[in-house]
Amino acid sequence: MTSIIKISNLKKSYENGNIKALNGIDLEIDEGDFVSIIGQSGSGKTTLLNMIGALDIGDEGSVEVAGYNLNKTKRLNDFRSKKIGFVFQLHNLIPNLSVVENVEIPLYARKMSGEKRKKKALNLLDLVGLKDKAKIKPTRLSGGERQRVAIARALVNEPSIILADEPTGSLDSQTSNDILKLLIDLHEKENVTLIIVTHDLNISKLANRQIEVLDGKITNFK
Amino acid sequence: MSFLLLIFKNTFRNKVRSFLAVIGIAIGIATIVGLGALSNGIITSFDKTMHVGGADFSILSKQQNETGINPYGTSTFSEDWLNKIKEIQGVKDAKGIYLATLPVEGKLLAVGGFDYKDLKSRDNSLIDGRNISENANNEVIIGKLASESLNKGVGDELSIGEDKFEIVGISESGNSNQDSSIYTLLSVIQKMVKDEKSLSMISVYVEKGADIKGVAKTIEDKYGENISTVTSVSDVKRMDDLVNMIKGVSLAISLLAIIIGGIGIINTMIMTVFERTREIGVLKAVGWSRTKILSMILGESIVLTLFSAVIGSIIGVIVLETLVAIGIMGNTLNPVFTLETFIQGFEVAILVGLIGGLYPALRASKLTPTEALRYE
Repeated sequence: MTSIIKISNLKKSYENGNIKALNGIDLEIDEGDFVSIIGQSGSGKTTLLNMIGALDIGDEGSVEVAGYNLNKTKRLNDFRSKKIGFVFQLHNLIPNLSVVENVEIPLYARKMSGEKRKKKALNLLDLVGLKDKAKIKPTRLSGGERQRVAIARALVNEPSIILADEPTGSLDSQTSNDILKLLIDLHEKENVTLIIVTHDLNISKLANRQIEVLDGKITNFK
Repeated sequence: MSFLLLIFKNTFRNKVRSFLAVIGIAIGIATIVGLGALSNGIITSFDKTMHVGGADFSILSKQQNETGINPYGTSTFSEDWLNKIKEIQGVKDAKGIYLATLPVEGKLLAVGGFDYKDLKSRDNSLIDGRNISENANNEVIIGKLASESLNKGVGDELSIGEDKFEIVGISESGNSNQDSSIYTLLSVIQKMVKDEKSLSMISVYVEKGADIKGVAKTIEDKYGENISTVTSVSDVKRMDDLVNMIKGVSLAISLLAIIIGGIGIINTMIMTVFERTREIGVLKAVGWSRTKILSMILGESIVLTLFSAVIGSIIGVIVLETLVAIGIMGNTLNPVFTLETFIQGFEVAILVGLIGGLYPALRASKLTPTEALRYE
């Protein structure tokens, strides 16, 4: 297996160095792997996920993801557009757009015809079982359905890696199980690297490998 | 869905706020369109008067007389000038006209004195009655609008100053200025205002194929110290001042509209950016570039102001036409809406959109994804 993520001595602090969010992270993740990052609130797990997704840049160390050196590249938006699919705890869908239009959103970062955009978005909605609700507004969907739309949006760019930050954090247990099953199915079917941030041990155990983060350091990686 | 449609949908997400912003700018645009149309109306009406009876250009005195009865603020000049003008090479004919603003049945109206042949040539504009008889010293023709405002018709008596006249005909030319005037023989008005053998204007007709500007220049070169040729409104100081004043007011309102509308748009768009901070974070997270986000917010701002321009233009036309219909504008001033009037309104709207949208758009584009996604 080849590594898709290589992180070396990554450090990140906030508020003039007073808050050390990441304190020397070394990590390698293989292509197509399913990894969970677990830790308490404030442990640095979301910061680590943000660094992998190039939503933030470290102060020290190096981060290489899918062939991009994130410390050096000036094409961070290009990297996010082509390589990463984000799923957030809150779905963050745009309320005045229809379900299919929400799924199309990442494709505006690329040159693509409106027809092709819509076709791709509908295929993804079919994959998450919501094709019949493509034309309605997200406000008329249940929490679980909204998260399914967010997953379809994360996948529409055909990313190499899906980064999910507490994707079931605001859902009931039955819906959580459905969403996790969907993410794992997609990871297997599409051979996408899946990284889930969670503070729930049961969810963490579903992954092939678990990373435990405490005070900005990896304390356990199995 | 195209990017343009996405911008359009975002613009009207908060309908009440967008509506209030649109109304604020639309009022400014309506005023710009309205004043532009009024200024056009003055120019068009004046232009028709200067080319009355198909004249190629007119001649007025060089001397200004702002307090006189001449509506164009110039002095009268001797009838002798008529023959001097007729002698100029290329001039086919020249006709003397006396124009005065006089009290007619208690209202100040324009009264024009023409020679008999000149009046006779306008038979086709008569819609009722007959033309003035040769040598008649108590007959007048009144324009249709004057007839309506004075409530007088053929056969009625008309008081001009202290003199009494009989209305023998009603004319309609389609020019509100002319249709609001009274016509009589040149000699009659000269006698009435005690300014015999004088003219206030000469209409010049050039030979077929002759260069109009060339003939006008010959006259200017020869007699330019005493008289001036008039081919457009800018040639007459009083009219030019009036048009410039309206244009000045229009420019001032345009600037105010840009400042006030710009502040309104900045406020609306900043609110939009604040409300959609997390959404902007998501857009960045899914790979949107700074330029793309900047174009979206700036696009929304411009769509808002372009929509205001459409609404403002409609309001401008409706308000002005209503004022004309209920008679508040008087009979002589008819607004003329041209493409240029609306283009000016749209130019101001786009400028307001660009100025007002730039800061919020830059602010949105500079947000870091993590900062935006953390926003509560």
